[in-house]
Amino acid sequence: MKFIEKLFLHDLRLTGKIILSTFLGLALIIFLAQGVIALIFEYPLDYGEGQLLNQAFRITQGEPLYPADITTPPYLISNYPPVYILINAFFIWIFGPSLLIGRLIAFLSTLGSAFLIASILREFIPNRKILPLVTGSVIFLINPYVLEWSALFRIDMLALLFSLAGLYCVIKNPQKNKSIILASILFVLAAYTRQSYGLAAPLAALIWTWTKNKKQALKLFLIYAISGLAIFGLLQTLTNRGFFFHIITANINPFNWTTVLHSAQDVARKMPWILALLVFYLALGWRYTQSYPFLAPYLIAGMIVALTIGKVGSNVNYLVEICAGFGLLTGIIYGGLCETIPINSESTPEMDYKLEQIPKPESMKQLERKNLWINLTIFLVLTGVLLFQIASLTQNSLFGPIPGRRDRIKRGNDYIYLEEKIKNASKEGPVLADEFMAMLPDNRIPLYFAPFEMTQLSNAGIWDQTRFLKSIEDQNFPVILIHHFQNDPVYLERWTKKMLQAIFDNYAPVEMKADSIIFEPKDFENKTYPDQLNCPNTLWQLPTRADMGLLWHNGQLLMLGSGRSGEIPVYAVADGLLYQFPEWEAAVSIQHEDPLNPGEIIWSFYGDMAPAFDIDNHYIETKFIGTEGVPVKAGDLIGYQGSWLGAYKQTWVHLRFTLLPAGEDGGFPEPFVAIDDFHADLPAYKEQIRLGLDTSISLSAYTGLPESDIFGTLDFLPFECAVGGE
Amino acid sequence: MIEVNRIKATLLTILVTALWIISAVCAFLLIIPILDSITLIYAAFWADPNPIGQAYYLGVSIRQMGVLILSMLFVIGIIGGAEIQARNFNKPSSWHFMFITYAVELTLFLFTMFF
Repeated sequence: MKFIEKLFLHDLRLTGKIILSTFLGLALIIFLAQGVIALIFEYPLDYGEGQLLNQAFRITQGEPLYPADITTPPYLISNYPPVYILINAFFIWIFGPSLLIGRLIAFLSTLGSAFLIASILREFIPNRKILPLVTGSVIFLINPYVLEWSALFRIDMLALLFSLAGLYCVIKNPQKNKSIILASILFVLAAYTRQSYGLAAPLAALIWTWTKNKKQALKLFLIYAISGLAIFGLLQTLTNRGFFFHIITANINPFNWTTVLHSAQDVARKMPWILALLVFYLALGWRYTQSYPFLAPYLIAGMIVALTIGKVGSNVNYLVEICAGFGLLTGIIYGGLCETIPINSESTPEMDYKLEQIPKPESMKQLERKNLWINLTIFLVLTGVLLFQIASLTQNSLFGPIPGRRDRIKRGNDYIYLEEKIKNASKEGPVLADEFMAMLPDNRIPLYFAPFEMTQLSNAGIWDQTRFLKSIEDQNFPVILIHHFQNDPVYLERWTKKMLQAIFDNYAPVEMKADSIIFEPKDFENKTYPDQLNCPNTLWQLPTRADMGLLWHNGQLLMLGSGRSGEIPVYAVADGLLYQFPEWEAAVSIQHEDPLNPGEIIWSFYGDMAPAFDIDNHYIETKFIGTEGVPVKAGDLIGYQGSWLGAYKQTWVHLRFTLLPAGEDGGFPEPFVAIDDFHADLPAYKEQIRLGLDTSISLSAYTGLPESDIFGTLDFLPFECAVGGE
Repeated sequence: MIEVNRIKATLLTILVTALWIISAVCAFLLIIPILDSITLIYAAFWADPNPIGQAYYLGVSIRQMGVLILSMLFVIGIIGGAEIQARNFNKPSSWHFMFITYAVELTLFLFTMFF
C-alpha cells in the first residue's frame, strides 16, 4: 500500500468526520440558543403552560388538583398525573410562581434525555466511538418537534427523561435486582408524569430483559404493574375518584384521522432518511444488531403512541418519544456501519502514518485492501445521508419553530400591557383567558376557567355549561381574552359556540394585543352596538359581522368575523349595480346612488373573499363572477369572508370593506382599481384631492362603522356603532 | 534517474501550487456566502423588518464583524498555508494539511448550501 492510498483512506474518513461534526456542532448551538431565548422570556409561549403553572400554584395554596366535582367554579381540568406538577409546586412554594422554573426543568430534562440516548448507544456501539453517540443525541435535539417543546413549561420532557433513564438501567444491567427495581420506579415516575409514557419504554425494557433473563423480566413487570396500580388506587381514593376523571375521562377528546395523516406526511417530509433507516432496521436489524429486542419494540410502541396526535387539541409533543427512538436508531446504525466489515488490524499497515517522511510502500492482502475501501465507501455514504438529514432537520427548526417563537417574543410591549390589564381587571372579578392564561397564576391570580378542556367536556356532554353561560351573560368577567392566531382559528376549539355567542352578545372586542383580542362588557347605556347587521339611524346596513373586531387600514376596514374561512356571509350594503372587474381576483364592488348627495354616485368595495394561498377557489357567488352592472338589493348575498391577503400572506378570517368616491361619469375610480391587492399603493388623502376625488366619504356616516384617523399602520377598532359619523 | 526525480519534483511543485491557488480562490469565494448564511441564521432568531430597529442594526453589525474576521482568517489561511507547503514540501504533514484545508472548505461550502 502506497502513501497516497493511505492518505485517501485516512483523510477521506477524517473529512467525513469533520463535516458531520461541524453540522452537529451547529445544530447543538442552535438548539441551545433557542432554549436560552425561551427560558429568559417571561411571558407565556404556549396555552398549556398556564394550565400547568396554575395546577402547581393551586397545590401551594392547598387547593385540590383533581376535584371530583366540576359543576362549580373554578372550572378546571388537570389533564396530567401529578409528578411534574408536584416538582414545580415545590419550587413555586420556595421562589413563587414563575414560568422559568417549569421551563428550566423541561430544558434540563431534554438535555438529560439526549445524554441518556448517548449512554444507551454507548452500550451497543463497538469501541464506544464518540461520533455515533453525538449523532444520535443531536438528531434528537435538533428535531423540530423536540426543539419546539424542549423549553416549554410542559410535562413531556421530564416524562421522557424518566422513561429513558429506566430503559438505560435495564439495558445496562438487566441481571441485577437493583437495576430492575430502579427501572420500575423510573417507569412509574414516567407514567405518573405523563400517561402515555407508561407504554413504549416499559414494553421495550420488558422485552429486552425477557431475552436476557425471564425471571428478571417477570420481576420488572410485577414491580411496575403493582406499584403503578397501587399509586393509582391511592390517588383515586384520595381524590374521591377525581383522578381517573381528570386524567382519563377528560382526555378522551374526539379523534381526527386527518390530523394523523397530516402529521405522518410532515414526519415523512422532515425525516425521509430516518424513515428509510427505520424500515431498513426493522427489516434486517434482528439479524445484525444486538439492540433489536429493545429498540424495535420501543420504535413500534412509540409510533403507536404517536398516533394519538389525532386527538383534537393535540400538538407535536405526541411525537417527542418517537423522536428519541429515531435518535437511538440513527446512532446504532451509524455506530454499526462505521466499520461494516471487520478488519484484522494485524494484517493491515498502520494507517496513522508519520508526518515527517513519506513512508515506503507496504504489502497487504488484496482482500483486506478491498474491505478497507468498502468500509470507507459505506462510511462516507452513511455520513452523507446523515449529514443531509441533520442539515434538513436544522433547517426545519431554524425556519419553523424558531421564527414562530421569535415573532411571538418580539411583541414585548403588548405583553406588558396585557399583564397590567389582567392584573387590574382581576381586582374586579375573574378574568377569562386562553393562550395567555399563564399570566394569571404567574401573578398569583388563580384560574377560573380552562377554555379548551371545558369546551371538550361540554361537547362530549360531560359538563353542563349553562351556569357558566349565565355568568357570561351577567357580565361577571371584567375582561375576556380570546387569542386569534392568524393562520388558524384555534379559538373555535377552545370555546363552545354558545360561549362565543354569549361573549359576542354581551362583550365588545375593544383591543388586540399580541394577537389576543380583549373583550370587555358592553356598555349598553352609553354605546350602541350593531343589531342584526344594522346600526341604528344609519342609511345602509353592515356588509358582514365583525364579532372579533375591526382593523382599520388606511381608510379600509378588515372586518374580522368569527368562524372559519368561507363560512361567514357577506351581503350588499345597499341597492346598486355589482361589478367584478376582470383584473380582480377576490373582490367585487357595487355602484350606489349616494343617499347623502342625491344625484351623485358612490362605490362600496368588498375584498379578500378567498382562502389563503388559493385564489382560484374564491368565495364570491358564482353568478357575480366577471359581471358588470348586475343589479343587487341590500342584503343580497355576495360571498363569504376569507383569509386571503395577497399571494404570500395569510391572515385572520375577514372582509376588507370600504366606500369609495366615483370616478369620471360615476365609474369606478381609476386610481383605486388596484385596491384588490391589499398591498397596492393607493392614493392618499392629498393625492385624492389632487385627482379631484371626493375625500369626504365616511364609513360611519353611511353604515355606522367606526373609523380611525391613523394611517400607515393597522389600528384595532371595536365592533360598535359610531354615533353621527364620529 | 536525476532527470526523472527533477521532473517528478517539478510536477509535484506545480500540483501543490495549483492546489494551493484553487484553495485560496475557493476560500475567497466562500466569504460572502458564509456571511449570507450567518445573517440568515441570525434573522431566524432575531429578524426585524424595521430598518431602524435594534435587531436590524445588530444584524448589520454581525455581518461587518464577520467580514473582518473572515478576511483575517482568509489572509492567515493563504499565507500560512503557502508557508506550510513550502517548508514541508512533499511530506505527509503537508499533504495531510492540504486534505484538511479542502475538508474545511467543503464543510463551509456545504454550510452555505444548506443555510
